[in-house]
Amino acid sequence: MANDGRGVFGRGFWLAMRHQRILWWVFAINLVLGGLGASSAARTLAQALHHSLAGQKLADGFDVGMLLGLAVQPEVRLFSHTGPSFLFAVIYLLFLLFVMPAIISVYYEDRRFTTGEFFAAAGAFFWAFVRLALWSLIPFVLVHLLWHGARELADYIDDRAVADQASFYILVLGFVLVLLLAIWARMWFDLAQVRSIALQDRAMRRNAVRMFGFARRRSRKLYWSYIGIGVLVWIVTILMVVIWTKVPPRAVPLTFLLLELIMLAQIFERLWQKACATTWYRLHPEPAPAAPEPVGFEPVLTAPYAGSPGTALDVDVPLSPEVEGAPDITTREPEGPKGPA
Amino acid sequence: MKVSTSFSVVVVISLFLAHTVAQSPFAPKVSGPLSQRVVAYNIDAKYDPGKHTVDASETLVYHNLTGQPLDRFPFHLYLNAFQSKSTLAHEGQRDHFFGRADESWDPKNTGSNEVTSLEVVGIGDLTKQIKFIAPDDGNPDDKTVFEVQLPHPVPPGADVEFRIKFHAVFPEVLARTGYKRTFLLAGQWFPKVGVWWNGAWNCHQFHALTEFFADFGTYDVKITLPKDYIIGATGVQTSDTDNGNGTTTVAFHAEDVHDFAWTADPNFKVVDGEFSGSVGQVKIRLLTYQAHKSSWDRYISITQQTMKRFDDWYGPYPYAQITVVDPPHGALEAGGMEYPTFITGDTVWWAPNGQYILPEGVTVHEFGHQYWYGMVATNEFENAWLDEGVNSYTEVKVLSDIFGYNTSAVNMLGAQWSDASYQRFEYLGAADRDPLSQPSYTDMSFGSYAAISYGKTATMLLTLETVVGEKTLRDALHNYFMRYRFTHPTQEDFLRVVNETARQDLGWYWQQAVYGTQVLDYEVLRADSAPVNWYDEKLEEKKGETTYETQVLLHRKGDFIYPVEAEIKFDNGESVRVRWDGRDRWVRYVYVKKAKVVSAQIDPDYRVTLDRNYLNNSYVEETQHGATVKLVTYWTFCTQFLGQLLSWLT
Repeated sequence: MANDGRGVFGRGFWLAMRHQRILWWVFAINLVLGGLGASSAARTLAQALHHSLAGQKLADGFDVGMLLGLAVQPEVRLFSHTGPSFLFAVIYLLFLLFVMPAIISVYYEDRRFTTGEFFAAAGAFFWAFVRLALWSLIPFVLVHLLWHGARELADYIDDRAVADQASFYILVLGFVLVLLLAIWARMWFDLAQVRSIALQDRAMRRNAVRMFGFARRRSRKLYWSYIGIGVLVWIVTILMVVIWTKVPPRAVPLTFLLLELIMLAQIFERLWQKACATTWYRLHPEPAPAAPEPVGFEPVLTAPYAGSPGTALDVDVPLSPEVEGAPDITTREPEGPKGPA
Repeated sequence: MKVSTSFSVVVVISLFLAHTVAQSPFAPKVSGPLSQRVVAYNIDAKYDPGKHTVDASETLVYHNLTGQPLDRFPFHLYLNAFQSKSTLAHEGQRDHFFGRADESWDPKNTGSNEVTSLEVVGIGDLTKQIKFIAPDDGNPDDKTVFEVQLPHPVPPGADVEFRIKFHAVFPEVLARTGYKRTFLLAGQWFPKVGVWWNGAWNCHQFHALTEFFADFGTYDVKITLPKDYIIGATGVQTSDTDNGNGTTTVAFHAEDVHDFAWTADPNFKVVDGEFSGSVGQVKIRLLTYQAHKSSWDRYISITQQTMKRFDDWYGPYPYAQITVVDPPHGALEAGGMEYPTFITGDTVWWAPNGQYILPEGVTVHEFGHQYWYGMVATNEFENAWLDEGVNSYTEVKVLSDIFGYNTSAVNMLGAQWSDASYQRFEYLGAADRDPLSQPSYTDMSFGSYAAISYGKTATMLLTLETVVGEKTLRDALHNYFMRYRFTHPTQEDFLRVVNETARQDLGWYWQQAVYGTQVLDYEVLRADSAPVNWYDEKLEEKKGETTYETQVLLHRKGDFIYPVEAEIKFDNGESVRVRWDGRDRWVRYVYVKKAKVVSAQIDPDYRVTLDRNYLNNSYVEETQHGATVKLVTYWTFCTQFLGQLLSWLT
């Protein structure tokens, strides 16, 4: 399988683009929840500013003093409205946790789901994905501890080094290292999600363990795709921020557009990575695992290339499009669900 | 052997002469004395950088100019404040402003100053007579003030000479003194006599909230330290002698100053600049670090620009040199401090252009203290507003003049922040807690002290400009400086000079702003128009034809009475400005016009910065969405981004 990493970046992109309805829906939910998170502050601001000329200093520019003045006024206390923002951010997290099995299923099957299919897929694996997310906390906590250690080291050096920048470079180095590890951990758990859907396997600890070895041995190019996607999206984000700084203060619609484009890019980043992971898994089926534990209900979805749950793909059957006889998964017309269901 | 000894003597003398620079402590067109010199300090100190200690012998000649015999002398030993049971530590812990000292006492915070011997010439050794006192709070564990009782009084006009040996231990930099790695800022490091002021000794303990107070005089200080160290201090350097044992002894001389601080670090980079003022050239000596290279020019430039404005507006800077110290990273506690002819700034290596707080704002502020503390030497323990507050006001004026009023603190990424607004924000934090006139060290908390001494004073002087005019207030400060430089004026002296310059009795203002805690808050209660013929059933309103009666109600919400201006705008483009003295609780303005009211705004130019709430200062008929929509857009984005960040877990 040495040649099959080529194009996963592009294939993942087109897979995510083919199912861009997901992107738009997730973005819409993100926007709505963002708006709800801001609604409490919006009400208070409207009450304070709608019939006051004080807001002109914020509308015609961005007067930090006026903003801080607003923040400390007893009748406004702007920053006391951060609670709803946190609440709706968590709701967004739960929403994504809920729909993620369905998103992976859509990418894995590469076809358009009906609403019923979509939510059935989401519901069928919701708790499994919650468990997997909890498992994923282990590496993320370790990564966080590493970051904490890097900061401690930076503080230690900062306390002793003559040059100010020494600790900064330690921090940058630590941050890059931690980021790379976090991306790797994310990729690993993305693959575990895909495996879970592909094999209809809800034993999430097993999925995680299997995919750890798989990710460690065989996913170098997928990892580079993840990093490439991240870099690309952050370049776009920085570009948008630079443009935003040039926008006239009164051009709020344009500001809104730019900020939302940043959000769209950020959401697309994760979906693109998921699509890459799905594509990669389909191209690199793992050796047949042990028979899965029986599940208590009929699986709703199956993988189009899986013979049956538990057997997955025959490792001897090459699936890369470059290999003669293998189906071209990037151009294949969507099919209906196959398999034992 | 003889030859050899003679040769050595010649070499040493030659070296001494080579390194000795006879330099006046004053600018070319100035000659002393400028002050009534009460004290003459002569200190010979040896710094041990490994232990962060100083062993020194100090000779203090005190001239009794009090007009009465003195037999009791109090001294400050400020470094003893850096002990866990001191008043400074207690107040610092109480107000949570001490950083690492808040939760538990870190041994690195410990500093001390021990007088190992005290002799009075003509009387003898009085070391055993040393008695610690705590005049402010009676804290028996506070060792920051001691007194000695002489067996017989020093007559008026006579001198008394104290010979003191002391051992000082510096803390890791805290409250603007101490070491960080190889860096040392030596402030408040030697036994310093109190001030005979208003008929009594004024010698307060070292408090967390306030600073210092001392008499003018001369300082001759020799500091011996490893020869790779670069040193800067109050006054001018007069000699640098290589001792041949790896140490060097650097001598400084200062006249007409009331304190002496110094700094040393082998890693210092020296950047020189100069300022040409009304009394000649002044040397600017910046002690900084390679890592702060991006700030070097900013430091020199802002110092020159500040000196020019102070020279033009308030009076000349008479000294030959100003030393600007840029502390190393991690030594934030050493930043932003003032001593005579010696200030500490603050910066970070990544300080972006477009924010003028570091290093510009700090430098402007600390240089300002050369006037409002250094030369006009008010009592910082009791009237902190006279140094910190008046200085914050002049900081606003200087920064605004250089960077523009609205952008004098920040002007980057589309955001603006004026220094005046920064001061006002500080004031809003504790607008009604303590009166300015109260002894500052008794303020409610550090937050209150900062809000009142810095923010409120600057804000109340900016507000006063609307009554007396900016130019008048500038002239008043000029008069205040020229009259009281090199003395210890009181707050009444300051208020009197402003009254005199403004040619009006501003007692009504001072009573509220200085002696009181009243809060200023005006609001527009109502602004609406109704047709005069409202009762006419056939009335058809037509723009420009229908006659309306407009009612505008202004309300003084706070207890602070202050004259304000209001602007009322009508939909035919007409606008009216009215001035209300604010004495009643409310006032009604009625207009009959063929136009409806569009808006009414109190203080339309945002000059009454003491008004604690700008939101209720106006009423506009048409709903204003701009600011709300913009802020909600940002807020929405932040919520979205936070959610997306959390979704990394999915």
